[in-house]
Amino acid sequence: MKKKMTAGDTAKKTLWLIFAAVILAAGINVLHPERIPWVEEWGTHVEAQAVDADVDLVQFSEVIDLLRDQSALLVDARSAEKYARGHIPGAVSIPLSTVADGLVLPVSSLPVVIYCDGPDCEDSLLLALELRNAGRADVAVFIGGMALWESELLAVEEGAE
Amino acid sequence: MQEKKPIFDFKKAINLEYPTEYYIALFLGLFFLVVSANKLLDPSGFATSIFRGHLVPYAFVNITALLSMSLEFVAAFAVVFMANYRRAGLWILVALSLVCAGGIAVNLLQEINTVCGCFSNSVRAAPISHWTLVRTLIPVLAGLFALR
Repeated sequence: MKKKMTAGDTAKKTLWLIFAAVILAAGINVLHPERIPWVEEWGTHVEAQAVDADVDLVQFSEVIDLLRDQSALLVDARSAEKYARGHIPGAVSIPLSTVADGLVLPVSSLPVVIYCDGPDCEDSLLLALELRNAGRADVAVFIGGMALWESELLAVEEGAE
Repeated sequence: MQEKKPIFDFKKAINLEYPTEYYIALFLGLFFLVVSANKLLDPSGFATSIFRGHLVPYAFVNITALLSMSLEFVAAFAVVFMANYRRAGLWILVALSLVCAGGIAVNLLQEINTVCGCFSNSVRAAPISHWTLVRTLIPVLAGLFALR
């Protein structure tokens, strides 16, 4: 006669699968060419700091929409030299380094989206905080920045403002 | 003479007593097998997705990513290929989908604009919305139906 599977059997089998998953995770992370550390301090990442500081994040697909609809002012927080070498089309340049000389607030009434080199670059977040302190509430950060833009092989505009 | 036991018993694996439940379970298993295999190929990308949920303590992001993608793969494998472990595998897939849906719901409530990493790591993906939550709950409902 066929034995009916009880809840206890299922629980026991679930535990076996969890055990197998732990072994697989350990194996994958030993053999994988791009293995990751078991423990990493993600709290130091710019995105984590932005969330902690309650600064809005803008995702890649939204940047595309915002540019198409011209419904936001894109601000490049990198140096003027980097901006001149190539920036997201339509972006204006406000290098973070110039803030010490007096912050020039964007004249546009559109929401401001700031970017810099990429996910590891802090300039966009720092500029966002400066703008917020100066009274602009509608400030967001595009964390992926120039690195993500270029990795998606999208058009880049060259030249100074 | 004792009959030789087959390595893979197709008759046992295909539960024709409950064909609808069986095919739903099979579909879910295959779906999660593909999804988890993609994550296993790119652990760093999936860890980034977990991080972007901002719900797991940052020090535990990588270990959560490694364990959850492995668990998803093992459970999906069990659902497709191991008849005796199918229910256990389904329970795990349902639980993982519920956790994912819970994470999306919390992010929506906290208005954290992020991209869902439950089924894909694509940077071109649209940010999470209520539709993402509904989409994530579909495997939960399908799994519960197959388990009844």
